[in-house]
Amino acid sequence: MDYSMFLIKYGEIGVKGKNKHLFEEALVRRIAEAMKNVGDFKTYRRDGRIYTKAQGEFKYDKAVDALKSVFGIVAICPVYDIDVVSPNELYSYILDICDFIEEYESLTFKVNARRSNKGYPLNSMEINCELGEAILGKYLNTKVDVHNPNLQINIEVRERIFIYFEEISGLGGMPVGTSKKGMLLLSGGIDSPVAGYLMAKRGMPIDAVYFNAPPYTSEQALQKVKDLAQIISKYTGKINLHVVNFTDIQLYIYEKCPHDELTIIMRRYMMKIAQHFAQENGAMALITGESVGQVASQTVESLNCTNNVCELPVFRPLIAFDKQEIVELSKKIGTFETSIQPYEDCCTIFVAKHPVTKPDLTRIIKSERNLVDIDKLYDEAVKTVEIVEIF
Amino acid sequence: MIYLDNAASTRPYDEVIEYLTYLLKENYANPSAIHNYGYTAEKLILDSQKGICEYFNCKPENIIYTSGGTESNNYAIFQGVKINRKNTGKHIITSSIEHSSVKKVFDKLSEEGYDVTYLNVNKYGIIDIDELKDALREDTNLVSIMAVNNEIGSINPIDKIGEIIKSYNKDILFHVDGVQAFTKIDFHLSNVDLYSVSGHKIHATKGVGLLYTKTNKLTPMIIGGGQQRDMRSGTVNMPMIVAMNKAFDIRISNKNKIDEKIHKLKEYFILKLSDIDDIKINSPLDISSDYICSVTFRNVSAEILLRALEMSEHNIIVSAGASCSSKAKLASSTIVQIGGTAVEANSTVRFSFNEFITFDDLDNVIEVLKREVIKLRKLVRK
Repeated sequence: MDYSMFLIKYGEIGVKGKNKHLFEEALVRRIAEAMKNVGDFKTYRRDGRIYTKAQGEFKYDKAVDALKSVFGIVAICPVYDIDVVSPNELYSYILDICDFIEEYESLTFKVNARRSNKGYPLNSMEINCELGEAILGKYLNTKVDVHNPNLQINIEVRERIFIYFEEISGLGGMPVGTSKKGMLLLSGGIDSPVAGYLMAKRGMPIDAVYFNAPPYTSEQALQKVKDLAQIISKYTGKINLHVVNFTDIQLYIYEKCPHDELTIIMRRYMMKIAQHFAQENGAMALITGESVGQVASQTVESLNCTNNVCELPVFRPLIAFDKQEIVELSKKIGTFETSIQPYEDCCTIFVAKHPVTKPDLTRIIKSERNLVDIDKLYDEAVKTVEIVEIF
Repeated sequence: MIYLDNAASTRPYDEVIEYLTYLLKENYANPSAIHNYGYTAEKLILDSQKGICEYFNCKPENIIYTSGGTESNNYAIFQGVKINRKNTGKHIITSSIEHSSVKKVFDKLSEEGYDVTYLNVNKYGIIDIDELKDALREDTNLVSIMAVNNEIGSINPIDKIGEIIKSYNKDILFHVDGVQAFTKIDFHLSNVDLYSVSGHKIHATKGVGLLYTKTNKLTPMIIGGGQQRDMRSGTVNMPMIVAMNKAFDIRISNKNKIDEKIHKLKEYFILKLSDIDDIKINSPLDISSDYICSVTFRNVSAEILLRALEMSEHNIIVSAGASCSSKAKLASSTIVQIGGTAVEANSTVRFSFNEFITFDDLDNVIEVLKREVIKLRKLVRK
């Protein structure tokens, strides 16, 4: 028999006092969502534990992979789930599934039984001793080490008997859904998907805004952003991607404002529009992939200027990250290869040769006074938004 | 939609689609099967290719059906150089503006020890006959020259080239990539040994083409079940082959009418283009194929213009073949080879015609072009 169930261990959410059940429910929901793509699984809480149990065939690697993308899980234990049987039957079953021990030259082990089913004839200590002896007797290459064993055999005797050996590390963090939603400014680059991932790690559901600039940007550039959203939705759950047609606003800014201020003014409008959709969708924060000093629009002066238009807090989880650190994270979460596809986004096409790096807010606001007709374009951009559901 | 990307692919003729559907339904036998049903399939091919054999002045066994232009070019060159001939060696010649399915085969042969001469082209994209004469050597094995260039439509003097090669040494093989020329631009093929054709450029379907071979010494590139007299194994693609031969027949029987229409379209288009400033026509009338009109719009990104045309109210489909970000690729683009800069190559759009396009269509294209080019030129990086 193969594994048919996973026991899910969670850390941080275990200590949340009266709200504990809300956190657990969020985790159960996220696990159930993640397992939908793997097969027919039933996910439930019992006795302060979360289990997800297969109702039919499934691919083990795919299941572990799905669980490894759920925030809030500290460890994943693949479990043998059997009927309550007599101690002797139990030992013989365990000796059978432990045949992998033969592959080792020598191995230390510990039996860790927990009997919460008081009807069972033996208590935890007795199971530990008897099974330990049985293993020593069958596998002569083994020794007991209760402090630092190579192999820990966990047995839980409840209404059924669960046996597991392995704890696979989970992602940690908080289950998505335990925080209010954030609106991610998603470009096709390396940083913004990572920023979205990191905020989801703290339990935040994500919606996203992408600024499309056809014909200056291509259908492939848009597809790339959809692909990126798809990749991070594995961690964040469903994302409503707001595709905003930004061309006319960009052209208008280009026409009316000093070119070295284009990027800053453009970004101020992006923030405004993102905030509009955030407020419309119950999101209470904006999220960007900005990192201090990475480019002209990400100096502290520039960030001040763009931040100035925002009423909502702007979360910039990468603010103190080096590019290389961001790249490594993006490789880890699987967005890097997509991010580096060479399709230009609206920021690269409209960028000035020498953008201002120390913008002065008063000057920027003065320049924006030239944009007398911008409200009409802004309304049009908001009105014509296209929302793509990604999950 | 106004579809002006016919050099990339054409819409199959309605008659071709209907006939193809009929064939797919009525005869799905393996043409190599022994039963009568299979023989009928084979017979359909034989009957359908009379026109093509007449065109090449050849027997059925001189036609090898392939999966398209790329396979035909690969086949002709890779297998052509292998034909054992006394008076040839390891020197091969081609031009600097061939399609990649020829260029890359030459690169590969060069790696394998063949000595390659790449002939330059003049500002119209035509090879220099004197340069060819100088390039021919005692050990020259094969010459491959495209009839019509796919990016700018330049026409090489295939008749003259064939004469020069054969009068120097009749054992040198002459291969012509005829993908953009077949049924569009005519040549005398008496000195041509190998000629590549693609189905979907002549209003048949993708996935089918042919290689005309004058010599019977060619060896197969794909081996297996021994179909097509062992020359090209793989179940014979009867429906698509017969449909392609049908498209050929349609084109040939209407050739004068089609040619005249296409000529007038290009003439009109070039005339109208003069309303737009600062452009360069890379496919001048009368010395390039009427089917192709390559235009450089200075200070405009071809890729963005292409998208603007497609997004416009007339949904205009064109190609910006040379447009790419890789410098290495740009340097080998036809525009650069005829003396343009990399920037010009990135500002070049190809319009390619078919006989269904109307003068009204072209008026609409010009209107949209005028508007979009002005708009795009306003946006230069400052």
